[in-house]
Amino acid sequence: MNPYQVLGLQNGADIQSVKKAYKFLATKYDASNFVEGTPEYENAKKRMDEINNAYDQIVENTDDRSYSSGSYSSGYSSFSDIRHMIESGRLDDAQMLLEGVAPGSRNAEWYYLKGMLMKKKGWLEQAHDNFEKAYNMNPGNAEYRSAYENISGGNAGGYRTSRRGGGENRGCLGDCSACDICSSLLCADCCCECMGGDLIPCC
Amino acid sequence: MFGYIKIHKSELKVKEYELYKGLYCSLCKQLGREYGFLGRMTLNYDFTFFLMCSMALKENDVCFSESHCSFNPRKKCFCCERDNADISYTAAISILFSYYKLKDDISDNSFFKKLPALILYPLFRLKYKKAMSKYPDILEELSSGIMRQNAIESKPSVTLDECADPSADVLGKALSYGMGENVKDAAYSFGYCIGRLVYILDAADDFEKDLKHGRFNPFKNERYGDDPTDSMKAVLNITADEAARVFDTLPIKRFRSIIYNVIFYGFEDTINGIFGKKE
Repeated sequence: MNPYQVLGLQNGADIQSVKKAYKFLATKYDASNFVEGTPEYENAKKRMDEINNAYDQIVENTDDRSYSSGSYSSGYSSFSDIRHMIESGRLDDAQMLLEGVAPGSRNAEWYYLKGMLMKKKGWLEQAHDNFEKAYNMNPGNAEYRSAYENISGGNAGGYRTSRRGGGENRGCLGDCSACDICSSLLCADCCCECMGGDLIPCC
Repeated sequence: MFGYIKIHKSELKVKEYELYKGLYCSLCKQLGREYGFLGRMTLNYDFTFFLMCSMALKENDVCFSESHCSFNPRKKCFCCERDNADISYTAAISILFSYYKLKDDISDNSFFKKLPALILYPLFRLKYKKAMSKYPDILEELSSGIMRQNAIESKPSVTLDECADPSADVLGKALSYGMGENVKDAAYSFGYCIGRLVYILDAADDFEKDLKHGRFNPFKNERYGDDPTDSMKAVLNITADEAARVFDTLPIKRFRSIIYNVIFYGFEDTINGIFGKKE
């Protein structure tokens, strides 16, 4: 399949827009946004693989490898088996392996995975701490940054407010269309004219 | 632990509000039928929400019919049909939690405060046994979860996540009981988030009281310093957001807008209410 199509781009789009599209899609289909076992989760996992493959293909062909280390796929990471376990829901096994890593060799990825594990378990405070640590150890990594931003956005109730602003808004402004504005103005004009004034001089 | 899960009435449509009230009435009647007047006393909005969530995730339809309120015969209400398995299960859960709340009251307070609890305790024990005989396996499991909560709070230097885990786990298990395989995990995660949120809300709400009486509180920890208000708000918001995120992925069949209302508006009201009281 054409990797550009997978990312929703024109053939031969420049690397900047590829990165942008990749980042957008990867955040959208990130496994932590879905509940395991639901069809949505499976679907997202499949999409994520497609997106990762497409991105890798494009980056390899354009010879710009600087970003591929920040890719969401972690084929070369030292903890790939643990990551796989967390993604497939074997949380207890993953925790045991993570705890088995010597404190000296706990790098940013270790903290990131610990955070992911804690998030899956619902231990959000510790997830926050671990994501923060991962982000501070390696601020350049897009994966750690988005995880950290995602969870600290919650500090102020960000997810709920942004979600509420969207589809299901039923506030008074949400129902106010251009027609409503015009008819209100006309009404106001009529009232003014009754009182001897004029709001809209042309009618 | 009760009274933190509320709807935000002004954001509900009338039909949604009627449905919600209908569930409340149905639960009240079921409690009356199965556990008598004492059972009705345990009725509250938290379990109405629980009932709504468990119905929302089930395949079978819910039928409402018009009937009369048993306390005010002139008032009409919508009620679910009798012998609905979800309502009966929620009634048992409601008895279970109230029983443990009573037990908790007895161990906590001074003699005069615990007197009503002492009187009610033997009566509730009978109801508890009755509920136990109906759903022995799951209620047994939940009871041991509630016991675990007490055990964990006596452990030294315990983190908030650890403290909230037993309560959250109990609600997760309670909600996922009897669900189809395909929604079981989602139901558990959702229940877990709600349980965790309620636990933390309770801890934040009781912080000052616990401080005064020298009781356990997870926010009494050096991590949070002398004034944990900001940390409380942060962790509550993170948890409510997580609940909202899980809610978005739930395969909900009905009552979506009412549950949405509770999560996106009701919890905000509760959080603001707790901190408004303090300032």
